[in-house]
Amino acid sequence: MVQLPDTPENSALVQEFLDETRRRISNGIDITFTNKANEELKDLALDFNVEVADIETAIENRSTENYFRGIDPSRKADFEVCAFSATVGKDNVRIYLKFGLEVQGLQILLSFNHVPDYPMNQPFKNYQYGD
Amino acid sequence: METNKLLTRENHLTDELHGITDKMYKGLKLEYTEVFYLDYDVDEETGLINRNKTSKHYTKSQVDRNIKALKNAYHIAKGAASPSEIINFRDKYQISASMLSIILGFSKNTISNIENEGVTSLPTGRLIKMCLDNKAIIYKYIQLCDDLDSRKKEEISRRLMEEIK
Repeated sequence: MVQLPDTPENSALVQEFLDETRRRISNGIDITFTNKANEELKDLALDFNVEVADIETAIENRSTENYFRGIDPSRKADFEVCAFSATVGKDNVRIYLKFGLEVQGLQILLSFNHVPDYPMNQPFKNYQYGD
Repeated sequence: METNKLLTRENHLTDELHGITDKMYKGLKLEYTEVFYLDYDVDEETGLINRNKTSKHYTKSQVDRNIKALKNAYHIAKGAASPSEIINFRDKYQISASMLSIILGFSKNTISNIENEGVTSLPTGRLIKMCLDNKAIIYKYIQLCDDLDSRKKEEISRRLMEEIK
């Protein structure tokens, strides 16, 4: 999965992805979990008491600053996929959060929610356009 | 039993499926029933749907139920009473869920909630287990209960003591 370089256009692309995610959630679309995401959430639930609602809140509250990787600018896939850094639960556990938006439908598909295996750089962090 | 139906990504009705699964956690084998449905696999890197392969998918509500079942299995493995143990005990001694709640000093709906949703706290689950396994303790709690009249106390105590004899 590519990491988009830090440009105003790419930031707008990620913002558009996040706006669409929030729009779907506010219209009542529930998040769907893949098998991997379900397995990973079990570990988060047992180790840190993280709940489904915490994951949903994390998805809703992402900003471009939390962007890690993803969004294929060619837009040829069935899902637009993007990965973010997030903190969840009462212990503020940092996780790698990757989800996709169905292009020809409305599904929000969560594929990963686990403690990252390595430090995640966030290329858009602290970037102030026009300032 | 009627099977729950769900909509796939392509808006086709599909059955909710059940399967026994296990997970090793801190040296414990946690076994429980999980719910899921099948839909076409999506490559998490490319975002492409593979229409030749289905895989397990989970709605938010299914994940919620599965996590509750997993935590319940963990609490049982750590010594808490299982919902079926509580139900069997109540059936055997003809004690209603609300009455058992009151005898143990919980709020009226606690036992009923545990029976439906599983044990949500390990200390609570262990206390219940201890009481179910040791009728002398529950007998004592019945005698100390202010919310039962003496006739009711005698009735339940008799059923418990018959077993002890």
